Amino acid sequence: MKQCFFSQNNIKYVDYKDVELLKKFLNPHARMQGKKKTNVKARSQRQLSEAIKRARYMALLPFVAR
Amino acid sequence: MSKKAAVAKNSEEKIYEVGYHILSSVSEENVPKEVEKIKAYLAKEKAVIISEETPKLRPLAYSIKKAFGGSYKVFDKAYFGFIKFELGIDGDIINIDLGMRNNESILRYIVIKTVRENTMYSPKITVFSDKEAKIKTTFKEDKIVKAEKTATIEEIDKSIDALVSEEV
Repeated sequence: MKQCFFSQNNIKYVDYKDVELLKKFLNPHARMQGKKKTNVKARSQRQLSEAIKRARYMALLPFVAR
Repeated sequence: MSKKAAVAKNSEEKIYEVGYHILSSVSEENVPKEVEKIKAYLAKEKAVIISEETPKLRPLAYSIKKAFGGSYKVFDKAYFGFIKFELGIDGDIINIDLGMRNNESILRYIVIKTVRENTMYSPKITVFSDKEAKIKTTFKEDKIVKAEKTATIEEIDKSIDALVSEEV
């Protein structure tokens, strides 16, 4: 079974500026992946979604992509 | 607010971060002046700066328009920077937020609550190390294959020589 990425790398706080990290959890259309696909623990998934939304607002990540 | 909640609020560290986009129409020499303006808002609230990044011109993921006296201007690039700071008990984040909002040369900003530790994770390093590791392993495999091939050619040569010497 795949383990939580954030637990493995000891990441306690997901930063919205860490675009390269956030991009790992987006699909080619720049939509967020679900928890079944990311295999991330519930707390991290919540932090991740918050960070992605902040990055989108700050135009670091797109809302939609081709 | 109950007494307990008030006590908890006071005992908690008030660490915030301001991320901002400065307009790309501001010339590069004037960008530090804009940063000084932002720092002045923080200084008014007696904030202690923990870390900061100087604004760098970067492309935006989508174009943003800002109103200038009745007409819009569209921006595709902006100087992005951030400041992490700690507020004292008497400091109020609302005043910093208001200052940022009223600043004409800021395209967009965000104020968030964060933690003191460095929150940036650098995946690039691990990704590169993985790739390097893969390249190394593939090179090794190639070498092994080549070595085997050369060995076989030598063996053939030797066997041919042996055959020729036998005939003579």
